[in-house]
Amino acid sequence: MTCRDIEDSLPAYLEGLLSPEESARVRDHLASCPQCRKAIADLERMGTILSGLEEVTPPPWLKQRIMTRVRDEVQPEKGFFRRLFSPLHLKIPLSTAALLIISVLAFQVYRTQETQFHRDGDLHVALPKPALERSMGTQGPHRKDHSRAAIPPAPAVGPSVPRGTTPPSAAKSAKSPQPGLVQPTDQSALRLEQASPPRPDGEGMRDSGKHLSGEEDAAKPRKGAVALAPLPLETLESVGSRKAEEPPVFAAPRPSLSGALSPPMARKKSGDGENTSDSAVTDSGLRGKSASTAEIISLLRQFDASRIERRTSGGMEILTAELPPRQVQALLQRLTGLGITGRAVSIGTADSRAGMVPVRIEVPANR
Amino acid sequence: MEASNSLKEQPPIIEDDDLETVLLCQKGDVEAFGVLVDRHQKKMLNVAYRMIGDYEEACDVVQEAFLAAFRSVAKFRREARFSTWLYGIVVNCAKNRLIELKQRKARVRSEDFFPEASSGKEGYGCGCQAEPLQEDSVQERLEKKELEARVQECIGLLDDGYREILVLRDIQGLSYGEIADVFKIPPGTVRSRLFRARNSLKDLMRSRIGDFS
Repeated sequence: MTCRDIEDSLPAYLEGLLSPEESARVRDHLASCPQCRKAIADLERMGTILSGLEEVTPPPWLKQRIMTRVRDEVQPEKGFFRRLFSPLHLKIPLSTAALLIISVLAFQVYRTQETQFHRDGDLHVALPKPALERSMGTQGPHRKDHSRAAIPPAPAVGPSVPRGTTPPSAAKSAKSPQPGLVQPTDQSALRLEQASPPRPDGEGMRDSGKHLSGEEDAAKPRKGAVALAPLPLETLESVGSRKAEEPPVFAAPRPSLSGALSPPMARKKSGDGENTSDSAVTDSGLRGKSASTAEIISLLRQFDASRIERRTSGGMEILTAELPPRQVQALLQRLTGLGITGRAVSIGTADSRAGMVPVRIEVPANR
Repeated sequence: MEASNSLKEQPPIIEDDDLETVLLCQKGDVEAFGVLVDRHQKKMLNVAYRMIGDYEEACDVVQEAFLAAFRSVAKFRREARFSTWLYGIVVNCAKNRLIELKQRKARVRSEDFFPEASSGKEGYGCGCQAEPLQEDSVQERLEKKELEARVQECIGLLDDGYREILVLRDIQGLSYGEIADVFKIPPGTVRSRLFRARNSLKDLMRSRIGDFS
């Protein structure tokens, strides 16, 4: 056993933790080795020094400070807000988060306001995108969209005219409906996206359509106009006076118009131009049309519909009417029974003045 | 078999003078915690001081440790004495503070930051904190102070794993079992580490103090 081994065993030897044999071996070694005797003496002296080290006394303020902090911990409200706003490492992320939230909210408000503006304008048309973009292209440079370059040019649209008259411009530009064109640009009615029940925030329109209006209309937004209500009179007038080469963005039926309907031939000639009729003259307008359309019209009447209007667009028969709100659900059920559901039926929001709900039904023209 | 399992699951019954006060603390009695602070602050301060070697830092560490103890007193499950549990917290806080101080020292590299033990910043240098020894003569007192400062210096040079065990056993007088509870290691490991710590300290004192026996 070397001196190093003995030295390693000395602390255990001093504590009496060695076996009797090991203790005897250490004892024998210590008797003959002054160096190891010195080592054990140092250990003993060191133990004395360590156990005799002077104790330090806590300062009188120590307990006070500890308890102050402990009491702060117990009052979470005060401590929480202090911690929340005072340290910089929390303040910066909080400010950033607040800024982000405000930005998102501002953007949302902007979008809502934009939609609201469009709603408060007199026309709301939810056209399919290509038609929409073409129409928007006529409204001003700020509405420019490069994607419309790929869209085939829309045929010129003749304004809606009183029965028996065919505007020359319309006759000139009359073309048969293009089969590939799903929705011509002269949609003269409000196209509602599927909205059952209608979304009061106008989201449905925002998604798939934009506000379209003639210059005159844009200049005079009608406050309180129902988003999907039939078109106002001014629109028709303005469209009627528009130049033929400038396709009217929106040619709406004139609700109060009680003149004669365009003859069927004139309607044919006008191609995708729409012919509208008042409910008072619907019968004559229905002549030659399919029984199903007539059936829907009679159904509408059964449900106290007023301002029943009908037009043809892109191979589709479009019926618009206004219903008392209480009849809407029943009408929908009946239409469902006739197999007219989904996107073919659109319900607008009730007119705040008249309390009538605009309804739009779209069926194939050959139905 | 089940009986033996249930016996294993039950915490051993440990005599603890602090038990009642701790129970009050666990019920939310802040003033009861004040009693515990009163009772243990001196021992905890001495452990922190011997580990760190700086009186003010040790006071700060004790504050942190008591605050940590208060936050987690609800988790104290009486598997050991409260004081043993508290020692564990103080040792951990002191070790963390030592790491911080070493990093700070490496950055600052200023001798003023860590003054010599006799410079007045540490406990012994600060006469108002040290317990007066009226019976010693001035010379003897100065010599003792000098020796203790050097011993403290040597303790500070011990490896981390050795220092805390030596402090708890040879300065604070904890039993091997208590130290084993503090560090959650077997008592045999405590012993072997302690013996190595003693031999290391003896070698350090020989080299830095000379003949001290």
